[in-house]
Amino acid sequence: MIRVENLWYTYDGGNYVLRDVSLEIVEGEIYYILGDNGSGKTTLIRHLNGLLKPSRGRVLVDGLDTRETPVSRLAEKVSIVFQNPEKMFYMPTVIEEISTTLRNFGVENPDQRAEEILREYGLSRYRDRSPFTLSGGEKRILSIAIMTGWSPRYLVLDEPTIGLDGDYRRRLQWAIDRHLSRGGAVVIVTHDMELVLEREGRVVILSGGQVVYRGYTQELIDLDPGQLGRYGLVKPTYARSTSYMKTSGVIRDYHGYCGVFAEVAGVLDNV
Amino acid sequence: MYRIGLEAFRFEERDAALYRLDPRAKLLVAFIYMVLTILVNSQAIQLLITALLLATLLLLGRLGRKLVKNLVTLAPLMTLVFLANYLVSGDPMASLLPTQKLLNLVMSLNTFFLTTNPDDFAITLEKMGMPLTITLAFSLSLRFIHVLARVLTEIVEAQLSRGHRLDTGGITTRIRNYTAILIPLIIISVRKSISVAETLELRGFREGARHTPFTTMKIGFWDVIYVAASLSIATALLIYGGAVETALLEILTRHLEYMAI
Repeated sequence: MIRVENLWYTYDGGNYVLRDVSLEIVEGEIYYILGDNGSGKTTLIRHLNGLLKPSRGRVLVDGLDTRETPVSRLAEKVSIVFQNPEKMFYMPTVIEEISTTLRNFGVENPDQRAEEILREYGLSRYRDRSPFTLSGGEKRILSIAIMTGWSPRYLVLDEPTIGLDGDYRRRLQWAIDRHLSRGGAVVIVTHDMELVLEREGRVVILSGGQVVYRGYTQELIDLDPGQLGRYGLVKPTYARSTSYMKTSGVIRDYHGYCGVFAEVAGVLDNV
Repeated sequence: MYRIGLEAFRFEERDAALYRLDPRAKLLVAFIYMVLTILVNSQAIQLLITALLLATLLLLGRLGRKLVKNLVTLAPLMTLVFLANYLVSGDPMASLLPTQKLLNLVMSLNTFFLTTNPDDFAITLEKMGMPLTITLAFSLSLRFIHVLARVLTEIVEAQLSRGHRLDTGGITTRIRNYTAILIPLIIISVRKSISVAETLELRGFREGARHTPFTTMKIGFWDVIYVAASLSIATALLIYGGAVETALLEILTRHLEYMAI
């Protein structure tokens, strides 16, 4: 379990970008961290593997205090996939990019395992290409493939759907589902409400560095658009249509219909 | 440390006297101090120049915290300069002079670069008759420092997150470890510069084009005072350097004797 206890953080010693944030991340669950730009979402996740040390409060990863534990040890448990995948690439080929990371974490038979990962993520045809020559979506999926290779306990994804089309989005969903089915926890920082509503999970909304909302995805859909808009969030079209139908008295079972519409929207996306 | 690195040299807007002065006046004063630093070979006078520059930066620029970060970043280079000179000369006092000169050169430049917006710097150069292509290149390079600092931080964080260790092993291994930082940094920097060039073209920029700057510059009363005071001090130190040095040493000796008693 990751415990964030009364976390405060300042970059310059003056203005706090995180203010008294507390959070528990439990294995087997999915967490969505939402909020407008500059609300402190990325700063919060950079605390989870010790890249940033709290100015006040503490973060415990399976009982290890991030202030006293080196990043290399925490990174073994908490894997963070950052927004721009290019910033992690430096090897000449895709296969070496994966195997190098597996070696860093002491995975047995790293070359063989890297080949398996390539197959699992459908990236085999790019095996010997430079990661820098891949498309935006391919780079993102490759970064997820790299960062899940050693089966970390906690997977943190920062805006994972940016630049992903239907096929790569399905591969992302598959990676999330597999991580959850193996008993891991997934933390997703996003503005993509469709992604949030695709799966039941816990929601934390940050604004001005503070937690302003805690709940579940199904409760989130009941919030009025104005309230969501203040946090930089927009309900997907199908959710707005269902809300309208409910208030007009056309339907009663809001969540049921919302699920159906979400599925229809998903099918239409893939046509 | 890597986070402090380039941030220490970045311009940040502040409400202080030095920031309100005309960039041309600041550039001229920085140049005066640099020339003085290069010409003077007395340690006592170099110390006096350090004190003058410190007073300028702290009192007129309110740059205390920024200056500390700046000097912390420069400390390894200054140590290296001192050690290299000491290895050659074997005299610690003589090795101190080039280190002092480096410190004063950096602080002279700080009076201009830490207190001048990159855009104003470009306009200053234009006023001095430089072509727009060169002034724009200068201003873009200065702005790029901040971008590069952010990219560098993100690359280091991404590599640490994938289990890459930067500070382990012998010196060769450590250098090799840093290729994981350098390769993405170079590629991203090149891509960013190409995208800036393309954006300039898309916005109709062409060589030899003339433009009207958004802000105009005017030399005011305090600019004249700032330049005149700095020029007078520099001239006095150059002409009466010997006498000033003797006086300074005498004061220092008396002070030390008094402390000993």
